[in-house]
Amino acid sequence: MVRFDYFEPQNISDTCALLDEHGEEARLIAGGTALLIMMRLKLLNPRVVVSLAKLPDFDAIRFDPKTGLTIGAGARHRDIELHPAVREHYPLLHETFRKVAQPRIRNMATLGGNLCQGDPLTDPGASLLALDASVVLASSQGERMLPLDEFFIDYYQTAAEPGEIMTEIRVPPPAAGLRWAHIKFLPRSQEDFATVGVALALKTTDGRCDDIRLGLNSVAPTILRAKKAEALLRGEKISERLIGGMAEAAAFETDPIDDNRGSAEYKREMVKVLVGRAVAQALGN
Amino acid sequence: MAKQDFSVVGRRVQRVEGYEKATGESRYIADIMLPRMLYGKIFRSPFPHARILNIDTSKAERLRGVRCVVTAEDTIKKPWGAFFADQYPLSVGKVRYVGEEVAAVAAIDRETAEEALDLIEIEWDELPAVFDAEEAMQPGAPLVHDDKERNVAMVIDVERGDIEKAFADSDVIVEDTFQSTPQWHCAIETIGSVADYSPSGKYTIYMNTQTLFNARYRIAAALGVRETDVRIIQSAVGGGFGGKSCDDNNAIVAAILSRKAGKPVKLINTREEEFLAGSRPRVFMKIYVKMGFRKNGLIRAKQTRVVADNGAYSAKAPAITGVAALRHDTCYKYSDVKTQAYLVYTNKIPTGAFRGFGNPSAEWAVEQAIDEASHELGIDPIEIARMNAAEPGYVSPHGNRVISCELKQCIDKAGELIGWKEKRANKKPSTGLGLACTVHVSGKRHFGDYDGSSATIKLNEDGKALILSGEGESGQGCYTTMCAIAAEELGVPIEDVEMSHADTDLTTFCLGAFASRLTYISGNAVRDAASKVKQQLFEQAAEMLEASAEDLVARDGKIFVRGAESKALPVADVARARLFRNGGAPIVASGKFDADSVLQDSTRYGNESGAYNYGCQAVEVEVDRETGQVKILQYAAASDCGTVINPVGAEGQVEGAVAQGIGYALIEGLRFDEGRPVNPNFSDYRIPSMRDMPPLKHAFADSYEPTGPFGAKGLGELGMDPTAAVISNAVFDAVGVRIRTLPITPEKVLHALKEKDAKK
Repeated sequence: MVRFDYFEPQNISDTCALLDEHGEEARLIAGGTALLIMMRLKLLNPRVVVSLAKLPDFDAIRFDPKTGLTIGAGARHRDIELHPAVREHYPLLHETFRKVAQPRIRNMATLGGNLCQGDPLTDPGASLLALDASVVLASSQGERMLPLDEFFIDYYQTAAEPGEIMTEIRVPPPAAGLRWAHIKFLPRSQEDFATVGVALALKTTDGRCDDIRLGLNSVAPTILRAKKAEALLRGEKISERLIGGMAEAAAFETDPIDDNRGSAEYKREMVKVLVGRAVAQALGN
Repeated sequence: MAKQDFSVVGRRVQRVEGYEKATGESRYIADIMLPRMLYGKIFRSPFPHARILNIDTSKAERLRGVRCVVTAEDTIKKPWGAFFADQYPLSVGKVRYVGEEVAAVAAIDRETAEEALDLIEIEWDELPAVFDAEEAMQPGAPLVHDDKERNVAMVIDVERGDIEKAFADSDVIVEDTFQSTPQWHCAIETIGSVADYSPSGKYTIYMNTQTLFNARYRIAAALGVRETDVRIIQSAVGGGFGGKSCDDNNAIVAAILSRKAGKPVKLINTREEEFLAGSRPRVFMKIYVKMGFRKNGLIRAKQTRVVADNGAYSAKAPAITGVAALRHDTCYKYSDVKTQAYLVYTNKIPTGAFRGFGNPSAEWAVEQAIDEASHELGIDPIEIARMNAAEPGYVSPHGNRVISCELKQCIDKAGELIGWKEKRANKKPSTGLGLACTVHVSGKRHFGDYDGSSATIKLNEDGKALILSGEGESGQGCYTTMCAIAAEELGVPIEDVEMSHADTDLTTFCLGAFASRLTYISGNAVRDAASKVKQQLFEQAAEMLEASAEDLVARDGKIFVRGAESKALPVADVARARLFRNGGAPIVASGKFDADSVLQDSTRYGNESGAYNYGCQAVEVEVDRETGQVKILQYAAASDCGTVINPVGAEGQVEGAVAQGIGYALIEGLRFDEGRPVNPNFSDYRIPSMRDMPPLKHAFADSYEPTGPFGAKGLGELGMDPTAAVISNAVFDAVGVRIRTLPITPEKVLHALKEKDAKK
């Protein structure tokens, strides 16, 4: 019998107190799209389930030109996708969230839940890495902010400590003239997880790359930033040859696995092809 | 009868059970709740091949809420099966695949039953296993069934004409080997049943089967009782596609649990169970093809060697392998053919019936070989198809007698729809065209030398007709088709015809939904019943109108003397008058039909079906040379199903079949690890969704099958038979690489492109 105690705390501090009290036996639930599957497969069998449904403003999405975008961890994928400020100022995010699963899932799944799951196959993390996002983690000890860059540790493992709950995702103000591209490579079905996901943000002046951030998903134990590839382009005059080298470097940074979506070798090769295409697309955007 | 004379047939009508389905009123197996009902769960083998040394169920039995635990000891230990009796309801002595049913629990709820499974203790002796059909045929391979030498379940070895001479006569010979893949049905509803045993000895079983009476026969055999001791009531069926034709143990185990517990038991597969041991996936085959052609493109000879993976038990694979070996010889005009086919046991999930039966695997191979020949001969594939196409009157080398056949029309229509000529003349880089043809049966004589149907129609006193038929609706829309046929014959609006739910106690014997048989076979039986009901109506009306019955006409719910429509009698008035009078009687009649076919003899000779359906499909694809991804730009399907009775249903059949064909061609497949499908779930096993469907154009040939109801024949499977070959042929046309193993993944295409470049 699946038996667990269920709580709906009204604020963050009560939530943290419940986590402190029950430790490893407690699991947070927001949209439930990940947790319920894990429970059904008996991969998780929590004794206590703590719902985040009643936390005030937990799903708020706010935009300020000076501080940027603040997304409550409880915001649903679909709400982020359709938010006017996201559409206007963060087209990369709009494009990314538009491609996540399908509306039925997007209407349930929350961004905080997605990131905390640490599943390398999902899309939002790569685009948020490309936009230099940070996450806010709260516990009974207080709050800390962490670059998303440091959040993904390993397969289904994140930097969130026991007793911590993600409260916000912050994205810096949109940089003027930012170029971007998002490619979700779905050779099997539009409903599939990405075989390879590429999220790219790029700033250029007169054909020179001022800055670049490249996020990749589905090609390693975690969603990752291809920093070596970025470094090859940063500060350089962009050329076909350089793009080729950079795409190859990105492929080298990945660590994919064989699965029903393709062999590791194929996925690595697709990173090369698709990163090249992403740069070309971004320069066109 | 000319088409314009039809008043219901060929009209776009609302689906008769559409309202129930759209509003959620339909009662699927999960909705069936009986008083005191328990929930069952099955303990499945974790090993592909192992001896069972001991089963201890005592701990499970002691768990609070558990009502009973069953093992082989609660069965008659007699194997059963559609063609070969080789499968037990619960494992006797050893298990032969991962997922096999070993024991089962009935408890007060699902969770308790699940918990009890963990308390069943079994001592195993693991045995060496074999997972590949060709390896299984080697001397010394582990034996899946001790009495089946080299694991061979069945051999077909047939030669017609003189194959050696025919190849010697050929100008061009192509030879190649193709591998097909297991494909799961992925019906939205998994297999399930609710069994209710009565101490009188009767088992009442609600189940979502597509073949009620075959299910009854097999369940009765497995339980060791008479057919009448088992009553099957069909629940609404959330998709069949061959997977719900009762080749699995679900309902049998539910029945055994119910008998032991003395209460009704509900047993429904989870999705994982459905993949592991539920609906029997498409038989996968390795097919070697050798074909000889004349310089002008005419087929001279065809030879195949088929190795089919039976899995651990036989289900429908013996018949499927036969179709793969022989059926395509009815598509084109063949004279000299030879085939050798081996059905081989392995320690994997039993394979079985899936829409298309053996055709998709055979056509995946043969239609690619023909495409290869067309390139070698330098003749447009559409011309090769046209010149070899079967025609009315064709008798295949195996004795299939074709009456109506509009394959040439289908080829022309598919070509027109895709824009074959223009696109071929203006070929763009990395885009290509592909085409393939198919033939299917309208019913197949397998079971007890009978390929018939029966139906009873009651005409109620309000003028509404009720069809009683045991064929059942499995989501394909046959109720609407049957109601349209009855309405047309009776001369009433389709709204005045209903169809009862199928129930083996209340309807006469029907074989069920397989072999694209219902429109043709059941349609003829329904029409026969309707015609007899109409006779009774006319007898009564003749009296009332003071006319002769031969001069009467029924149309739009009224009966009148031909030419005197103003003095028409409503059907209801006639029905009432027949009943409410001294010596009156309700109007009721039974109809029957058995196809004009014969049971194939021991050499597999004989006309297997009453009518043959034909089709041609064409596609335009674009291949991404850097990723290997195949994008379908446009798809076209032309079908010859005789008269289209129900256009909305027919279009749906073609669209759904092409979608499954595209899945088979490009997407579907699970990796096996030591005989176990890896990640048997919808996250890893993808099927095409609505968003993956390409633009699809379809056309129906102007065709009339004289032996069919109002000229109709079958359609359901035709649409997915050739699809994989169609797409593969187009990939070859686009980038010059031939993919020989399904599915055509981008990785395989990319790999082939690299190999090709390396050769340059």
